[in-house]
Amino acid sequence: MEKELLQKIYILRKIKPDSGFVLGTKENIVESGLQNEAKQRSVLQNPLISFDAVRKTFSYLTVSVNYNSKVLLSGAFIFLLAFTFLTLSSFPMGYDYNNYNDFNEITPQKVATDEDDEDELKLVAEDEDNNIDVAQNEKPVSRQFTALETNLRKVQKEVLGMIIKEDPDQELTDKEMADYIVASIEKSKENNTEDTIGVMQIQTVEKEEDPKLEEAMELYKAEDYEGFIHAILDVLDVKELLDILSE
Amino acid sequence: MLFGKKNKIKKEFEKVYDSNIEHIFRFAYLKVSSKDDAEDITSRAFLKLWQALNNKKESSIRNQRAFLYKVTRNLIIDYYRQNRDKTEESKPKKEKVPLEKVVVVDKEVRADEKAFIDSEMEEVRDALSKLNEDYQNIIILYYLNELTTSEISDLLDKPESSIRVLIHRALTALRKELKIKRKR
Repeated sequence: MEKELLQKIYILRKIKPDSGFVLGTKENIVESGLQNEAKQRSVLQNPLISFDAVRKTFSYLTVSVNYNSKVLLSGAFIFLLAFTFLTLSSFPMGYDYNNYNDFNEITPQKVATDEDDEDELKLVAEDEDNNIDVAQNEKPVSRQFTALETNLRKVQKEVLGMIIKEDPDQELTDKEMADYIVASIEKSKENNTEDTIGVMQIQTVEKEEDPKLEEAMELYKAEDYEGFIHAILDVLDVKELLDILSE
Repeated sequence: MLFGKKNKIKKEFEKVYDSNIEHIFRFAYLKVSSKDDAEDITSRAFLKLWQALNNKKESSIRNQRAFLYKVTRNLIIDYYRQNRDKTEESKPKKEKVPLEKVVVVDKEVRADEKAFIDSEMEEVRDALSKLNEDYQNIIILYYLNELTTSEISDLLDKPESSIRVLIHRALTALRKELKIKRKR
């Protein structure tokens, strides 16, 4: 009887889940679990994202920021925000483009270039600081963008200078800035560590074959320091720069 | 390093999953008698195990099988609690799943043999469902899922000596139930 009873009980061992359920559930749990983990980790580590992004884009550049520089950088950030706001607010958003007179107010100065042919006009935009000529007949709004871009690049360069110089009153020439950046790159290459010095260190990362960086180095070798700094600023991203400053 | 740890957890989970999925499903199914609910409880139990393995505080689960059974038991209790709270009208119609749909039988088994197995199973399941909760748990955990008395003692929060007594009483009760059924 005992044996018979146990045989009857053991027959219930044939109860099994569908193989589809078995496999599907395992995959779902593991996959969705891993996805959730990844999401949570990205949210938790959000403050590190900008740092990582900067590490990638700055490549070999090593910059350590001390307390005084932080104060300086905060000021630079506020300045940059104010500048961007003022520049954007000067955009001709409210103009009636159907009204020629309104439109004309924001067009660049018309200059007659040839007295024999007075109808031919050449639009000349002169940036007071950079003397950048804008192509003929370029549309006013795109001209504004060009000017904005130029000014942003100037601000970027100033911010980069602020990061580099130890004394706020120090005047840096393009060559000094370029030398500092190259020295930092070399130093990072030599150390090749992941140590963090001070509040922040931008260090050597994996982007060894960054063509933009190589291009920049070519300019440095050719002693075109201004071009080198512009090329380095191409490697940097203004948004990422803002991210560093906002931290 | 993080990836390596995740991979280790994944492998660990898959190992526990593969060796326990049938047992947990069977436990849930015999307690709730609905295939869908049993599947739901089973997947939720394993999901909780996954979460526990990934949770740093709980990553050192000493006995993963015991953890699974505890979670499943709690989910079954929750299931009955929720169904009890519902009024008769709002209760979902319980899916009446014939046993053969949750039973894996070899393809070689003849149709008449399969019919015999089905009827035997129906009879035992019926008898089992008439036992009290402790006896049901003992039969499922000790005889079907082959947990040790010590594991059952941990799970049911009873001394091991009581578990041995319960095993004997549960078997007697089931035998009695099956005899009564036969007499009818």
